[in-house]
Amino acid sequence: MQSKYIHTAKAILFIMIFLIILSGISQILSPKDNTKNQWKHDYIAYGVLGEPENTVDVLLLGDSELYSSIVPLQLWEKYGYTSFSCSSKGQHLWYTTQFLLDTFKHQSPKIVILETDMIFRYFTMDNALLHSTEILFPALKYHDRWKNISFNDVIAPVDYTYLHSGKGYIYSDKIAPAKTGKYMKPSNNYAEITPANETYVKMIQSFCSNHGAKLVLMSTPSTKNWNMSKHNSIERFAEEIGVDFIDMNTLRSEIPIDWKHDTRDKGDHLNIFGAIKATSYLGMYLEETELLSSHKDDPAYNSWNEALDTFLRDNDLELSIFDSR
Amino acid sequence: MDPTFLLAGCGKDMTSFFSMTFLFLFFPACLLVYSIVPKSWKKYFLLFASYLFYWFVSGTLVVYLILSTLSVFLLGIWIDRIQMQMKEHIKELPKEERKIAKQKFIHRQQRVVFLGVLLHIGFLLVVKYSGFFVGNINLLLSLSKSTVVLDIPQFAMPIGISFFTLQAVSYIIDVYHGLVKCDRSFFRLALFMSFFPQIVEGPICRYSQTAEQLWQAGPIKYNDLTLGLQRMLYGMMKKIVIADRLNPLVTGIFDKSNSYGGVIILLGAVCYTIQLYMDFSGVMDAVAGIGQIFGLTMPENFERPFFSRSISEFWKRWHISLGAWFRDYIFYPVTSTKRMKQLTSSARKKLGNHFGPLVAGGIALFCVWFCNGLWHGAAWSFIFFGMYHFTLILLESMTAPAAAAFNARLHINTDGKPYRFMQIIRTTILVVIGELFFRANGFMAGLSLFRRIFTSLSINELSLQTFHKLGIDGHDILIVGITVIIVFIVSLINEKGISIRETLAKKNIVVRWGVLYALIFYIIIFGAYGFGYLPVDPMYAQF
Repeated sequence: MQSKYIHTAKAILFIMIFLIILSGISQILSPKDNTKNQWKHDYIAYGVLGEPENTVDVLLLGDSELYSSIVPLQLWEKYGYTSFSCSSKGQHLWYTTQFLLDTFKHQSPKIVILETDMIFRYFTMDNALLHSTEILFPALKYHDRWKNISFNDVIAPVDYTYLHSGKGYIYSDKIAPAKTGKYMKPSNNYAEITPANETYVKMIQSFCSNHGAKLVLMSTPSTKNWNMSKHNSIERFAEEIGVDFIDMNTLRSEIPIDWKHDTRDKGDHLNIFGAIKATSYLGMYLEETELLSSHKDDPAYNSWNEALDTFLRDNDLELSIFDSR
Repeated sequence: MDPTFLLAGCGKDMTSFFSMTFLFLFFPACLLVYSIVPKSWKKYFLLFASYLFYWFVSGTLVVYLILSTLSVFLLGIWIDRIQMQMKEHIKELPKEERKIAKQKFIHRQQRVVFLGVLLHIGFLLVVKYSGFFVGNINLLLSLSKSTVVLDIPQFAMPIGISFFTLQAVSYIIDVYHGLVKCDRSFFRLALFMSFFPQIVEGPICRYSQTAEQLWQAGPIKYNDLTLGLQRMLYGMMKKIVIADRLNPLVTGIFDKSNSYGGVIILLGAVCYTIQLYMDFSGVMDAVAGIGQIFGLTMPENFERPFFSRSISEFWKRWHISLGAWFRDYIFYPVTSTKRMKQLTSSARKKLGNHFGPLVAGGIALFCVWFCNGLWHGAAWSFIFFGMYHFTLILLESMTAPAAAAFNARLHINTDGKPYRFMQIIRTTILVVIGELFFRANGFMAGLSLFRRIFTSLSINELSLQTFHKLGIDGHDILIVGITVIIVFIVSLINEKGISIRETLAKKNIVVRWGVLYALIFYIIIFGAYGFGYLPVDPMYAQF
């Protein structure tokens, strides 16, 4: 019996030492900056970490649909609203929660917008488990940083310096017309939302409400990724959990997407011309919520004007492009 | 039925014993409950856990496993009954009549065995191979300009079917041969058939190896727990650090083989051989480790195959349980038939004592390697893989006297290190060529790759740029190289008969824990998982 206790004590001690070392290694391997060199994966989306504290009012979370459809600097230019698009290619909801947690450490957004394409993206239990553990022990996420780790990583404090000039929007002016024959054909079907995805959305909703943020579900225009059965499911789900749902795919007159001109890859994603139309509608919606105020005249937000200038200059655009319909 | 009914098929990730779901949910939960339940219930819990595992992984396809187990259970009892009747019957007969009467009963048993084999192998053929057969029939029909095209049937494949079917067949035959007693406990037989660590990739166990051990399941011992975990970690290092890190390179080369010349193709074949070995033997280490934690000694499936001096030795060290199965249930039965015995004796007279037995042996060997190739998959490339090894082994046997005479004449010391080293290198090269065809996307693709090794060989291809294109950088190459050297050193020490684990067990706690922590953090830091990596399913689970 005595040896049983000794073995149990040994096992507990072993696990404790393991956790201490793992935490230490996590500290060393975690990026100390959010630059491309340090962060590697999705550094553009993580540009939000470089924004001054409590300056982002609208947090946009989603996949490539989102970073192709919403231009945060247009919202700034038109309404003085500060927003950031934490969107990454093929994003899963477990990953979205990481963006949410990381952003809320430095920001207090009043509105969180979740792109609904992700709600239909399947992921395995293993994915969810691994990435939940990564939140506790970042060594599991950044373990590959051993490849370019320096002494600085051991001693340097965390200082996020990278700012994305597009505030998460990824510019494209390519045009590849889409076929719209089957796009949003009426249907009474309901696409399946997996219990895991449902749970994640509810967790995000609960997190937002605990932090005083309004959650909005939004589907950006896409002929390839969206249809009526998905619309039906999200509409029902949004009603069930009591959140707003904006389906830009059904708002044809409010958002007059010209599928011959406004898409960069045959309807999968919007280009800048389509994105301006979608953003224009989102701006009106945000204004109607009366939750946000303009920071246009606040000198503390001058960097946003600079970002707008950089964005226009880098992409060879005129300010008037935001007025085009 | 709702597809997520009671999580049916929701744990497909668990086919990998290195998945988070298995390592941190299923397995610890199993250990916890197993430790708590009374001793007499432990075996039933193992059975429950095994079926739960299968349910999570394969969902309703668990029906296949249940039916398979039920059928071998009943067939075993049927054979046993005939054997009892035979004993009762011949006991009362005069001696001279016994032989004929016994023969009748043996024929009856053989019919039951035939039914069992037909049922199980037939089912495997239908589920796994009907698409391949129908595809080939369609090809023949199109060649004969027929307009008839048969529909290619598609069946859901229960995980591990190639493994548990062979276990089922071996049980029936062993009962028939009287090597094992027929099991009257359905649950014991069910546990033997379904034990969760071995159902995905084997090893293909014999009833006599594991059934009773499993049924005697006792409390977990501290020593078994630590040694088992060590073995699991070592396997995990092989799989996650080496095999999975090589995956983008191997996939890139074989999937876009037209873009590369001979040197890269050769590199692809070598890396694939390393990947397959590290993947499969790594999983087998995990199986042995899990078994050890539950107090079981699982049969070993690998014995350092890359120290083999010949192809026949290689197959005695690589996937041992499959080779042994083919030896015992195909090679021996074929060579021991009356006709084969007659063939051997007549061939012996004409061809002599060495070549004579090779005729019947060659036929049996052909059957073994045809089945071995086909077992790995329903494609001509796999059949070619089998035939390739058949040819090499047959040639090895045929040229053995000439090679011995040649060595004797030149006074070559065949036990010397240089000669052994040369043999090992030769065997490895032959294995790598075989694996090239095995991995290629079809037989013709394999031929084209093989040809290109000789026709477009340019060392200039071998640059860091090419590696970058293949999704692997200098650091990856370095870490794979270091880890392969670690595995090589461990294998070399084991080959010399020194057990590292036992040596380590004698050291003080600081050294023991230090090694364990080193291994764990080596895997955590240098493993190919998480961001930027695609999870790689265990490679043999697909067979």
